[in-house]
Amino acid sequence: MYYGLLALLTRSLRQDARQTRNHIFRLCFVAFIYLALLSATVTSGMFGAPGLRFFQTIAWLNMFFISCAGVGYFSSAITEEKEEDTIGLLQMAGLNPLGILLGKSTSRLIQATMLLVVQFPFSLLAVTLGGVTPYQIVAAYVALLAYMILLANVALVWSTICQRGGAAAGMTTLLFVLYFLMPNVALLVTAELIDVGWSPNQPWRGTVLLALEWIGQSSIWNRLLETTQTGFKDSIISRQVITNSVGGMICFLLSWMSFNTFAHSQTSQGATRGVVLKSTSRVPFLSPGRCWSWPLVWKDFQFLGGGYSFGLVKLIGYVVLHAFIVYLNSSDGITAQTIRWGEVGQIYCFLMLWAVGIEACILASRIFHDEVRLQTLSSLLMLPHNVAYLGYSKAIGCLMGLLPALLCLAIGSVFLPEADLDMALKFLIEPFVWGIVLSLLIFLHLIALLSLFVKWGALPLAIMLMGPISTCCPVGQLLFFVAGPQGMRENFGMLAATATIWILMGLVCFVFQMMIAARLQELASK
Amino acid sequence: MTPPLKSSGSVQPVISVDDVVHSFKGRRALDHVTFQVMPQTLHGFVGPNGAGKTTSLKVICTLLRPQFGVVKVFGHDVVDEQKLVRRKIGFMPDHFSTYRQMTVYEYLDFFAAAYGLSFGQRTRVIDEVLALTDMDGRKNDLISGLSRGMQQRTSLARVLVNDPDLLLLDEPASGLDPRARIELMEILKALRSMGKTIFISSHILSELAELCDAVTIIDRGKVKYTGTMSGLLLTSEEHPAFRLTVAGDDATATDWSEPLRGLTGVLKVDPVEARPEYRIEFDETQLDTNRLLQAIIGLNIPIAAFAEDRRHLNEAFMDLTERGVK
Ligand SMILES: Nc1ncnc2c1ncn2[C@@H]1O[C@H](COP(=O)(O)OP(=O)(O)OP(=O)(O)O)[C@@H](O)[C@H]1O
Ligand SMILES: [Mg+2]
Repeated sequence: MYYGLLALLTRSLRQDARQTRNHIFRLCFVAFIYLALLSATVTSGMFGAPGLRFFQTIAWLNMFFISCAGVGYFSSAITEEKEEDTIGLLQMAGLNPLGILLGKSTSRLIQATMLLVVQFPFSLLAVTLGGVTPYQIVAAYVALLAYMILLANVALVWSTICQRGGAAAGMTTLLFVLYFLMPNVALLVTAELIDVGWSPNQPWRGTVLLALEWIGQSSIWNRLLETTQTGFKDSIISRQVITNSVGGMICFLLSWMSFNTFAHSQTSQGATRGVVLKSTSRVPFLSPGRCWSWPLVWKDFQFLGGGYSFGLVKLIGYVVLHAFIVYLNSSDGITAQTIRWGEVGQIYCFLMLWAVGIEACILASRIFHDEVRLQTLSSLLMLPHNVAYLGYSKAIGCLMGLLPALLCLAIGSVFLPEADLDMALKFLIEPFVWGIVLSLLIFLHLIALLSLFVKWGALPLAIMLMGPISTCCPVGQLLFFVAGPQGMRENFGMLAATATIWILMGLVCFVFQMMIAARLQELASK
Repeated sequence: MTPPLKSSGSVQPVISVDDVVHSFKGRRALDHVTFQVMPQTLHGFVGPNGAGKTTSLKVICTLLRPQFGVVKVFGHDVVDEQKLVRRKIGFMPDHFSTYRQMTVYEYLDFFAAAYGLSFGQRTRVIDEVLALTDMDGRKNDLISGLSRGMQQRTSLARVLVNDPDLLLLDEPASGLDPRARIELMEILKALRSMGKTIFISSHILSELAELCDAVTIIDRGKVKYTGTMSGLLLTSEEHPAFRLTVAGDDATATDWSEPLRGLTGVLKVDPVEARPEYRIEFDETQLDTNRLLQAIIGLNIPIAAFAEDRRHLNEAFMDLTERGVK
C-alpha cells in the first residue's frame, strides 16, 4: 500500500510540474504579492504603517484566493478520477481508500501549503516596512493554514460523494457560505438565549452557550480581522485554528469511511439531470416538454439554466430570502408599520445583484464547457447554422435561466425608497455604472473563453486574470478625467463617457466572441 | 493497381474527393486522397488505425477545412457551400455525441427542431426513426442510462432526423456485440433501399463485404484501392475460392480432396481440419462458379453447402496495407 501511495503521490506531483497552467498560477500569485508590496511602498507617504497595510492586503488576498481557487482545486480531487472512470483501476492496483485519499487530496493540500510557505519570507518584509510584528504574521498564516485544511477536507467529502466535479464544487461553496454566515448566526442565537435567561453556569445550557461561542469564533474572517489589528497579542493557536483543523480531520475521516459507498460511479450514472423533471413525471408541466422552435434556447434554458422546475426552486428560495430580510428588519413584531421597507429594499437589491452576478458566472462557465465535456460540439457545429447563431441562441437560453433572479431583483427595487428609485434612473447614464457593467461583461466572456481551454477552474482563473486586466486598462479612472468635475461640462461629459464605454463594450465583446467562435470551431474538428 | 471506377455515364457522384492533402503539425494525415462515392450505394471506407478515416470524414462533413484539394458533396463545395452540404448529410462521429442528461425523445426532438422541422413534422419523423432503430420502448429513458448499443442507435436515429440523402458513419459498429452488429447492418440495408447513400468507415473489411457495393481502402493517408467489391478481388493476387461442405455421416471418412484436385482449372484444394469441408481455389480464367459446381456435382459428392470463402478479403486487405502503424 505504501508503495502504491508513493506512486500516486509522485504521479500527481509530476503531473503538476508538467502542467504549465500551474506554474502560471504560481507566477500570477507572486506577481500579485509584488504588486501589493509596490503599492504599499508607493502609498506609504500618504498613509501610515505601510507594513501593516501590505500585510493586510496579503492576508486578505490569500484568504480570497484560497476560497476561490481552493473550491475548484480540492473538490476535483476524487471526482476527476470518477469522471474518467479510473477510480476502479486505482482500486484494482491495490490502493485502498486511505491511499487514494492521501494520494489525491492530501498531496494537493501539500502543494497549496507550499504556496503559503513560499510567500512567508516575502510577508516578513512587512515587518521592516513597519507597523506589524512577526508574531502577528505567524498567527495570520497559521489561521490561513487551518482554514485551508478545513476547505480541502470539506471539498474532499463532497468530492467523494458527488459524481461530478461541478456538483462537488457547488456543494463546497454552499457550505462555505454557511461557514462565513455561521458565526454571526451563532452570536445572534447566543444573544437571544441569554435574553431568555440562559446563563453559562447552568449545566447543559452552559455547554450549549460554550459551543455557540466556539462556533462564533471559528470563522477565518473574524480571525483575520483580529490578527491584522495593531497590537495583536492573542494566542497563535486560537479557537479558529483548533475548530478548523479538527473539522478538517473529521471531514477526512468522513470521506474515508464513506469512500467505498460512493466510489463506484455506475450506481448513479443515470442521475445527471438534477431537478429537471422527465415528461413522464407526476408534474409534466414542469418538465422540459417538447422542443421550442428555437431549439438551442430551449436546450440551454432547460438543461443549463435549470428549466421550469429549478426556476421555481430558485424563485421560492429568493422569496424566502426576502421574507427573512423582512423578519430581520422588523423591530418589534411583523406589522406593516414596523417594517423598514426602504432598508429591506436596499439589502434585498444588494443581495439579488450578487445572486444575479453569481448565477451569470456559473452559467458562463458551463455554457460552452458542457458541450466540450459531452463531446457534442461536432454534432452541434454540423447543424446548418453558423457559429454566431449557435452562440447567441445558447446565450439567450442561459439568460432565461437568470429570469427568476432578475424578476426578484425588479420586485425588490419596488421596495426602494423614492430617492433611490430616482437615482436608479439617473444611474442609466452614469458612466460609473456602465463601467461596472463593462467589467462584468468582460468577466463573463473571459470565463466562457477560459472554460474552453481548461478542464476545471475557469472561474477562479478568470478572477485571477481580472486583477491585471483592470489594472492595465483602468476604464473607471480614465473616465473620471472625462466626466469628473474638472472635465467637460457635466452633462456632456457624462454622455461622452457613457458613449465611450458603450463603444468599448461593443469592441470587447466582439473580440471575445470572435475568439470563442474560433476556439469552438477548433474543438469541434478535434 | 487501382482500376478505373465504374462510373456509369452521366451519374454525378455524391461525394467527390479530389487530391486532398491534410497535415496535423507537419504530419500528413491525408496524402493526395482521391475517390468518389456513387449515389444510392453503400460505400465502405476501410483502413487500419491512424489511416486517416476520421480525418477524411471530417473533411467531407465540413468540420475540417481541407488544406489542399477539392471536396464536393452533391456537387457543392464543402468550403464555399457549407450550409447546403450540411442540410443534406448526416454525420455520426466515432464517439457518442449525445446530451446524456436528456431523454432519447428530447434529444431527437432537439435535433429535429435544430434542422428546422415544424412541430408536426418532428412528431412524425421522430416516430419513424424510433421505429426504424427499434428504440420505441426506450424513448423516455435518459441517454446516460442506455447501453452502448442503444446509445449507438440513438446516435444513428439522431443522424436520420433531418432525412439526409448521405449518411457518413464513422465506425458505427465498434464496440457492439455481434447481435447488435447484425441489427445495425440490417438497418443500413433498409436505409439503402430507401435510396440513401451511405459512407461507412470500419477497420474490418470482411465485415462490410456482404453489405457494400463499393469500397475504398486507405492506409497511412494514401488511397490503396477504390472501386467495386468484386474489382478488389481481381486486383489481389489471390484467386477466387469457395468452401465446399460435404454432407453425410461418413463425411470425415471419405477423402474427396484427390478427385477435387483432378478437376480442370482447380488450383488448390485444402481440406479443413476435423471438418467435412474443403477450400477450393480455382483459376478464374478457366472456370467460373457455375462450371465448378457442375463439375463437383459430376463427381457425385454429397453437397451440404457451397459458398464463397471470405478469407481472401482479409488477405487482399493485408496485401494492400502495410504492417504496423506509422
Ligand atoms: N487533431 C489532431 N491533431 C494531431 N494529429 C491528428 C489529429 N487528428 C488526427 N491526427 C493524426 O492523423 C492521422 C490520421 O488520424 P485519423 O483519426 O484520421 O485515423 P483513423 O483512420 O480514423 O484511425 P482510427 O481507426 O484509429 O480511428 C493519425 O496519425 C493521427 O495521429
Ligand atoms: Mg477514426
